[in-house]
Amino acid sequence: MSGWTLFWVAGTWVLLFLATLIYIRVYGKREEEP
Amino acid sequence: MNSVALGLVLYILLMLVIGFLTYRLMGTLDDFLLGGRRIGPFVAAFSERASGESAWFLLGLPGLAYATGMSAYWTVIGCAVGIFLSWTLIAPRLRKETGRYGALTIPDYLEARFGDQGHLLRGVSTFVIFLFYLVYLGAQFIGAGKILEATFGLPQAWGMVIGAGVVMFYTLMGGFLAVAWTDVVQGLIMLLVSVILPIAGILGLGGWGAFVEKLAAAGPHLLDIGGGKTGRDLILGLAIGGLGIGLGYMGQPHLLARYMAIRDPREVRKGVAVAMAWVLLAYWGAALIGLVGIAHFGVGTLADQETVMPKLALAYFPGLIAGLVISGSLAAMMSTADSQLLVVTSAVVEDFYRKLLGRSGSPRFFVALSRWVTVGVALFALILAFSAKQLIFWLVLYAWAGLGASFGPPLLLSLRWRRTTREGVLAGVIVGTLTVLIWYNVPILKGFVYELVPAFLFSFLATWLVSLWTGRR
Repeated sequence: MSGWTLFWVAGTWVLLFLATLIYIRVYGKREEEP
Repeated sequence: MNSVALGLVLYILLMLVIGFLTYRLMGTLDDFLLGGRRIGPFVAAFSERASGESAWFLLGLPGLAYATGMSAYWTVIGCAVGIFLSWTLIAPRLRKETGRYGALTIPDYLEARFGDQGHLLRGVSTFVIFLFYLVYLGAQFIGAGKILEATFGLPQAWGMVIGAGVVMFYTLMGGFLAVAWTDVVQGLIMLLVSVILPIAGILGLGGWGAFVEKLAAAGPHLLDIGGGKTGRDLILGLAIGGLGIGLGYMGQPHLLARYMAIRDPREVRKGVAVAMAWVLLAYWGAALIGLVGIAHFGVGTLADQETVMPKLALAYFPGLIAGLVISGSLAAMMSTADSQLLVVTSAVVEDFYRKLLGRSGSPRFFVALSRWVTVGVALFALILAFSAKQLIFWLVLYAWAGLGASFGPPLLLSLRWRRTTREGVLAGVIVGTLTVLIWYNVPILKGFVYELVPAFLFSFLATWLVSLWTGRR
């Protein structure tokens, strides 16, 4: 398996995981403000 | 009865029991169409995920990975990003806004948001929803016939009647609550299948190293996310096309209703966490099922690539468990069909009868009417599935992209940009639908890139530019 393939398949998994965490902790809280 | 069939029967019985249990909880139209907006974030997220993925998720996606190898992950990444964007850009604002307006449906919301007294927005959007969802529903019933024929050897017609009958029964009994709770069970089965089956397969093949070796031996292009393609074919055909599928999530009313039903706008964040946990486990696993299939069966040895999941389940699990695992594909179909059935019911009862015709009645009358409409719509979709298969296959090709491009960009802008106007939304809906229809039917355009990508872009531009123009006047 090439590094390029690994970057897309595993890298996007990690990025989405981090994006979800950041959303929940930061942006999601801001959305809740009236 | 063999033990594989027993697993399937147990699953169907559980769905019927949920229908019975939720029957008495339906007091008003709000209860029937949105669960009285009392749905917790966990149930809402599972319901959205199970409804968002049809039988394609456990049959088509593993089949795609079995046929093309790692390049199926473009679709996985595209869908995962699309679901993330829909949950973060649309869900929180839509829940807040629809709660404020007391809107039960997307046409309800659009009409209230733009103060559209002439009902033009409601009329156009209800028509688009009714048309696409009726054929969507017919396609799901045809899918049930295929699944039960392929897995249990039942005649296709019987499979269609059983699939439609079970979905119709629990939806008419418990409305949104029955649909949401059955979705939880169905979403859980789908998650377990897509996680446990590839793990069992990789262990059965002798571990990760042996699995990758067998995959490489089957063909080096199978381990390449580019699928052996380069240049334009790779970027436009494979990457942009695969990623573009995810744009459709933002415009599917049967998924948007899940956001609207969440108990408290402050609980949407928890919904994001649950939905993304499901996506990160189930999506990556479902494609892995196809790759395990390549290592187990060899390339091209299965006559129908979409049978790779049930064939692997039979190879790795004992009878009863295999039956429950195979039920996963039926669960994926039912969890999508029930939400689509409810969206058509809401279009007929709330948008057409109550708002467009301006009829009133007691809460009990509207619940009873919704139950009758649910039966009528399910029977009509079933008759369509039997008598107009070609029409359904033709129209359903446009459904995902058509709904995604016509509702996604106008809805996104109406929630995120104050200057969006009624005319802008109308332009977006019309341009999105027309671009999908035209792009799909012009071979040179169709071969260039998947129609949802340009349709989404043009619909976004049309909503934005027409809003700027009409807002200034």
